[in-house]
Amino acid sequence: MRAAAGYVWGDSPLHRTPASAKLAALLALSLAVALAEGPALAAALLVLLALVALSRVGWRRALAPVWGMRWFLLLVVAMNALLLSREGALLELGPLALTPRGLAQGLTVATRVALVAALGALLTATTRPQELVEGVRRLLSPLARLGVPVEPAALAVGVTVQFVPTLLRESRQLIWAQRLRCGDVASRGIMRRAVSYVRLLVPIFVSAFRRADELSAAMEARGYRLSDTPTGPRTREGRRA
Amino acid sequence: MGEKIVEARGVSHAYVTGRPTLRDVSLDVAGGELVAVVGENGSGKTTLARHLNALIALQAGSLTVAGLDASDPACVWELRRACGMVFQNPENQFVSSVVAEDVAFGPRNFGASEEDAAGAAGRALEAVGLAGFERRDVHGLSGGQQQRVALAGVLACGPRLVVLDEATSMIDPRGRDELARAVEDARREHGTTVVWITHDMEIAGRADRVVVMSGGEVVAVGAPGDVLADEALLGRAGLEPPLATRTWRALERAGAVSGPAPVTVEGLVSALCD
Repeated sequence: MRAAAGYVWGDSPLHRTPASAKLAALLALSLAVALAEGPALAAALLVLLALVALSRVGWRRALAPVWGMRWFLLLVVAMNALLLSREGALLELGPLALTPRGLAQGLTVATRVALVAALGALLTATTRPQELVEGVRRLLSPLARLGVPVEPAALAVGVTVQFVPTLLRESRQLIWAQRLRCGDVASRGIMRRAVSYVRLLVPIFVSAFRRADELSAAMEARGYRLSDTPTGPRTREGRRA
Repeated sequence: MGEKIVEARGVSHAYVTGRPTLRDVSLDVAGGELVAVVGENGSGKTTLARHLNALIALQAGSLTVAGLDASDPACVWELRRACGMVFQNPENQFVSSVVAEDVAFGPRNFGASEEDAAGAAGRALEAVGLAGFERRDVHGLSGGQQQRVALAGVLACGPRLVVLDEATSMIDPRGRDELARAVEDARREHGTTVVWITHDMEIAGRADRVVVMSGGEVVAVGAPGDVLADEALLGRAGLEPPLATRTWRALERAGAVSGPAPVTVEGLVSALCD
């Protein structure tokens, strides 16, 4: 059964692991992946596969974010492969040169991005949003002594995670709207596809900002405040009295 | 009706563009009243609603809500506790995807302990007919249920006034009826005062009083039977009478009925049966 923000109900060892431990592990693994190359990257891939098996959330669910990013990942590979250098080129097309080094670099970067995305998805699939907020709070709590606003940071993480399904649904609706007006995102040709996705960014961002504005008003209306004094009323849109 | 919960005198407001959105608005709302505010888009309804919760600062005029001066920054905190607000889009109001967590957000902000906040959330969910929904995912609920969760989040703070800002415009008729019932229950059980900003003339027809806004001004205030049956007035404000009134007028033109037009379906049925 699927629930909030991509959480998949379950009782696997990964589900039972405290959120703060999973968050710390995600940070450590992401850092390791960012630095890994060659065999180390292959080992990280094996770790991910083992974690997916351990989580019992299903391969399809766990790897869905990577599939969703496939065109972006392809673009990363293509740009690296064609633009990195001209040394030892296998093929030259004007200013573009396909090189083995560029291809290897592209595949490395794309694998890193895919691994981090899959690890993040695994975290949200095995951690309830509220546990995630609690995990961030616990992980950051030592920083509170240094004046770091731990509570707002934890709340921001929770709100962001719970808005993900809403924004994804809205993005799908925008893609359908574009398709209906002959601006098919799924049309053939990488360039046309890329342009279509760029066109989608503006309405997605506008919508996200509008939602954020409404949410902030709703939070203020329910007494939310960042400091000891409540946020004052706005003189106009956005400005405080 | 009891003491005045809202007392607005000459409230005016303009956004950055300079175009005035409220012009010299004066309005009283008595304790326990249900006041519907109607008007076309851009008539100033939402701006007025946001003044009541101190989300927008007073630029001109005076406004007291539950005896608290909206122009005094020191009163903002208490004013937001006294006046809760339910917004248009239920999904944009939730801070947690777990129902009980979201409903307890307000009480926690107003200083309740975890235990007290959870208790207030449980009672508020029961009041809106959602007992047993505590651990549910808000995204898995219907629009009507989501708005009732939002209402519960407001009621959990124990407000004296609840403002609903076009809270039914994004939900289906069944959800609208569920929300209307929950609001009515809150009024009956706690004497909560309600200001309902709406385009829905059926809801306005059930209010104690109706306020008509146009171009940032209050152009009429009165009983639903007087205001909503006045086609000329509503036409000038860019509005249409409720379905019951339009049906009555059509029957009147056909010579089938005569007399004052009803503004609710129940009133229409009653008038036709008489």
